[in-house]
Amino acid sequence: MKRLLVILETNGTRVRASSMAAIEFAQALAVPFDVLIAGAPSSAAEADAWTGTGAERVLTAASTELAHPTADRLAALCGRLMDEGTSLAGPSTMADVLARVAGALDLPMASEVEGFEMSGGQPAVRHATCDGRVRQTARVDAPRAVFSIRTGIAKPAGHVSAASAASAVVALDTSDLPSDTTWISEATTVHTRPPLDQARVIVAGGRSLGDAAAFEQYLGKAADKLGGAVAASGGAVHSGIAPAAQLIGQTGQTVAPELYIAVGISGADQHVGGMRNSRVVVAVNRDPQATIFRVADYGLVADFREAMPELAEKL
Amino acid sequence: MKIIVPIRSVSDPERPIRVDGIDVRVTRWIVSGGDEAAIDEAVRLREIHSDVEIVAVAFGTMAEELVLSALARGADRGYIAEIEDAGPRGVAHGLAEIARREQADFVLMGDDGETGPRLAGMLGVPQAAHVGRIELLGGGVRVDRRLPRLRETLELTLPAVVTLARSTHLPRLISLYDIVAAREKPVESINIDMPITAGVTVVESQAVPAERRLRMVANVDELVSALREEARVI
Repeated sequence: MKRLLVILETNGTRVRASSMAAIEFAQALAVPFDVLIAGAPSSAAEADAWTGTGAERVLTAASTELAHPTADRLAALCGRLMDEGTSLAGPSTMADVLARVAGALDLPMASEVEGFEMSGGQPAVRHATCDGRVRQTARVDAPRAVFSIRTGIAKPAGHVSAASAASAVVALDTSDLPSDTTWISEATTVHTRPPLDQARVIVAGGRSLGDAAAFEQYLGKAADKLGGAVAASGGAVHSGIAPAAQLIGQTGQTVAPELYIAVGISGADQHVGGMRNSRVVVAVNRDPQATIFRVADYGLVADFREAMPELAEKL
Repeated sequence: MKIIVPIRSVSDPERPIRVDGIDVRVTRWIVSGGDEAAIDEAVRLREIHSDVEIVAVAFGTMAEELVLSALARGADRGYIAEIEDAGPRGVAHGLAEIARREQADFVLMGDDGETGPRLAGMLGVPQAAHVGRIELLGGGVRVDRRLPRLRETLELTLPAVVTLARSTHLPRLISLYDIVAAREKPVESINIDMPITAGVTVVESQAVPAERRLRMVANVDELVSALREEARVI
């Protein structure tokens, strides 16, 4: 692999912190790389924050048209910058842009990359496949490919390797971009929690929460702090303290979030089947013998009435 | 107005997956719920705009069952696409060939994170991923995208590729009549050739989760610190 183009995600004006994962991938691969930031005219000012990442160039595409960047325009910008030796990487939240480039150039794509190692001079990437049920290491044999990097921890922009030569900042020509997609409007939905099968974090409660108000009180705040969703075990739904739409388990939904926090849930088979593919499982239960601890990575024996407010506060 | 919908199979989440060396053996395949939702959405559009024709394209394992289930669900015609690679690249190539052949107006499918946008890039047409609602306009579509903390409305000219956001979609009920009638609808087999390129070689596979090693923490502080530094999940 000769060169990498890293596209950062913006909200039109500011670069999203989740993009850091793609920069870390480029730094670790140790190939020459450029960074692309596209957005409204004011987004060009974001370039300075990324000149210390070790990139050769920070490329800015700034225009009023790009204030609401659409996948076709972003992919066209990438395509213009990629010669035969250049691969593309970006945060997995931009998978729709990355995959479009993969299609336009007929390149292989490695999705949701969690890590990699070098194997015979080529990167071998680790990622989850089959709906998160299998982890595979796949060696990229092609001379170039598209990589979507799983976004996890957001690190502050200052957290980069020190002592790199500062990147040159280059403003790109943004004329003649595709114009078949028109942005009409957008609305933020700050208070809506993500649907269970899209949530990166799920905080689930059991029958022992007692009532619906307790569900919101003890689980809602932690979920909101983590941008996650609230779910329930069969016991909670059947005792009427949580709606059926929140049910995880045999007759409910199967989920595979990054983080699953099971609060006051005993751990019966019917529930576990629905969440066992979660990457990290935390169990909070007053009973140290609860079965849920057998399927958890971290366990805290505590009363949720004390532990959950404290957790919500400290997150 | 011609809408193409792929019908794919996915592993049944209720059944185990066996990892055998680097090979992954799925014990049971089921129809992709996302693609079923796409057929249902196409049927909903046809109920509003009567000149809509829905063409289903089945790929991969159980393709014959898949195309019949799509026809029972309301597709007008079907294809069984014979292709070497039934992954995102293969399906995108197959759909591109059929979309061109049929001069389709749009391709609608469930979201798997790659196939839809890959197809749009191949065809050089506008795309929208993670769509909740679709509205047909003259010569275009208006879509509402469901993103984390955001609803974005876009208008795309046709032809276009749209992928539907995953949701708790309840499939429409199909009658026995629908199932019987499906067998009378036209189905064509098509061989898809695609260029073989050096791609990606699997070197290791592991079932998830591997053994979970429980670590008990004494208090909330320890938990937060473990999640941050050790698990690196927050």
